[in-house]
Amino acid sequence: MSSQKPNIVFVHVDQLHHKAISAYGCKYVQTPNIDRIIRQGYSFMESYCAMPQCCPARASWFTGRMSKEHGVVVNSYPIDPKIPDLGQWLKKVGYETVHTGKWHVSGRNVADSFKVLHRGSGHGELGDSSVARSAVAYLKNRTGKEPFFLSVGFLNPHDCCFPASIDGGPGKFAFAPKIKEKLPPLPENFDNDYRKTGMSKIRNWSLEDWRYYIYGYYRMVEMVDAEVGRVYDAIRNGPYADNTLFILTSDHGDGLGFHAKVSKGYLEEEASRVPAIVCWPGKIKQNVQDTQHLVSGVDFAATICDYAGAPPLPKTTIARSWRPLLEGKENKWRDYIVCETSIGQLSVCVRDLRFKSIIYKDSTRLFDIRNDPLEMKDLAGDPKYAAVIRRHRENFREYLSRIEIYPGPPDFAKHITRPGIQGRNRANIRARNPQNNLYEEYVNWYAKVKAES
Amino acid sequence: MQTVSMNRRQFLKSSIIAATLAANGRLPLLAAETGSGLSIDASTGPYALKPIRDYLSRFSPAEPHQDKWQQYTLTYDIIHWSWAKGKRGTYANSVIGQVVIKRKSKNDRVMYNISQQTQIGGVNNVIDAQIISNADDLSSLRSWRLRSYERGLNSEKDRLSELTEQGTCQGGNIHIESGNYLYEYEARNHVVSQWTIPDILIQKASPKLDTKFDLLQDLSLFKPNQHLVYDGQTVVKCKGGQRVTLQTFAQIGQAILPIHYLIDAQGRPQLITSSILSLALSGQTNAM
Repeated sequence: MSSQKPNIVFVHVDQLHHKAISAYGCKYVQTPNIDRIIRQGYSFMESYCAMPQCCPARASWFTGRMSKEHGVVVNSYPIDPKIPDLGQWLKKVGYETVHTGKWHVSGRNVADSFKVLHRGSGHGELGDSSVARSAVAYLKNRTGKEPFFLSVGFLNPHDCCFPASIDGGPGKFAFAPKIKEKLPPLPENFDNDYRKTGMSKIRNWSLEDWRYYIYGYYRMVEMVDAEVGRVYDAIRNGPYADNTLFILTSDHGDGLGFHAKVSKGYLEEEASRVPAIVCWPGKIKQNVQDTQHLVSGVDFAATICDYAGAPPLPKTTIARSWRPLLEGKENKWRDYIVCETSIGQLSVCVRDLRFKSIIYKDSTRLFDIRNDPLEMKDLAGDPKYAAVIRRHRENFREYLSRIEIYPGPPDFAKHITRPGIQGRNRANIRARNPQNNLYEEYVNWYAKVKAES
Repeated sequence: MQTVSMNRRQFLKSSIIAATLAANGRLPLLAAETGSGLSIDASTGPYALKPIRDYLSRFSPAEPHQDKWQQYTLTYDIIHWSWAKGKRGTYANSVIGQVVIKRKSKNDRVMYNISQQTQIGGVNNVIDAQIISNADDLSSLRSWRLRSYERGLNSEKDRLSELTEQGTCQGGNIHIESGNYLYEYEARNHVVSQWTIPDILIQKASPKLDTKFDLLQDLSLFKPNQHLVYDGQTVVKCKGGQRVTLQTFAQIGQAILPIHYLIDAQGRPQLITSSILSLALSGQTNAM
């Protein structure tokens, strides 16, 4: 690498299912631009977000800390104000830090950390093109000589949340019979048993409604693929081509009909597993789909700091830089990763290269991900796998001994009211109901698990 | 209930379209309305109108206009779908901008001037474009120039947001350049812009329309393999309970959600609905 610090472009989309990319084998979607980035870059195929909801996952990208460390444990819970983010951190080492589009780190004003080009919209169809245009215009018009860190936040395919609403929102579900031959099939693990635990009003869909939802979702992926390609082209076909590291990921996935689910927040693969692609032709390995290294959403911060020549963000207990892997250097890597959620039941998943446990307060589910990637057979009751469950429990305890658990602000209720979205998620219900204090809930559970040893 | 007055020529044109459909064995009158009885859409009205259910109570179709289809100016309101007051399971529409499409033709070319303004992200997003198209059935793109910028609430233009792109499409090769970068696409079909599709319908709409093209959205985003086809009639309940019947065309393809064009007896798209964004015709003149 030259002595000049690289520019870093961090492009993030919202709610992209890890399989909804044509280069990864999906036959029902065309993503020529992301495919090109994959061919020219390095894909981590065993990649998980830190927590499968927007704000917690994003706070983890920008701080390098897990959700129970930075405090954004669900969307409406604010970040611990003492924790620095990448925007603030990279400024200190000479970067121009610039953001456009979706930010969504609760409690942190993006303008305090970045120069903001465009605030985007809560709808990808409405705002993503303006966001891409603002990024391309910035690359054309900037006059600064310092390296830049450009964060680009696209909304789509998150627009799928609107046709997933009670009456289908703006979704034209009754159009489905007209394009029946174009509707993708339901996933193999589309499982009616999940209807018992899902949101009943959504589950009133006909099977054709489900297929139309999936059809629309893939079109939204294609919409954002075009926007991603526009930014990527502006980098690779412009003056910054040779000295720019390009990173693409998603905050979390989407149910997409897998296990008969939509949306996110849970720890099954469809919600917690995410694409993670790093690209810099000539500098890092190309056309790699790495299935041997488990990576987490917190690693983006460590990797970006490493390439920027910045010290790691403070107290990053779990995050590791991918640079040795990207550059093909020998490296002893982690054996497992942890993903957490606070939506619905408080739970964590422990994933090693073969197995995945989803651990709740009073139960555990176990899946052989290598041989059962669709999580169709829970092995937890099989004595043959008792040792795996014990090992994952031990991993969970070790994880808890490493992270710095955030106990929450002294007066939590004051910090978690967010006007305008009352009733929209469980966090707000908790916010109005002090006995449902999420901080207290996970602090107590984690203390109990740590005490087991 | 109010009804829309229709002159003899309009009536005959609608009747001819309906008769042609019947002859083709299609049943258009309710086809666009009912769909699957089991769908969650069963009680939400015609699917082509679903994204603008709220707006329709304030919508009146633009008045019929003297036919001068070689030269015209169409103005559309840009309609946004959203939750009503942030409440899930409800819906509301608001007008967030306008797009003005001016068209004229000369010899072997058609020229369009586009002026679009939308309020997104707390700023006015401005796009001005000049398009020269071929005088073929699809007004396929030949060359264009597009300038975009943001204007803050204080009306000041944000210099950093200004972007000018120039492009050409020849033999399926699309070249777009903007000062310090160039990008290219390879098209297999005729290439059109979303701003020129209304003109395709104005000039060519018929129940037999069934055409394929590649879309260059915003003259920047390449979305190939689009299919535009007749999709029956839709009864639109407008402001004051007024009902109008519009011919409906559906566009499906890569990187778009189904788009419906609802055209009046003069062939003008009165409503164009996608999902989050839709357009409603708010005015027409012959002036350029």
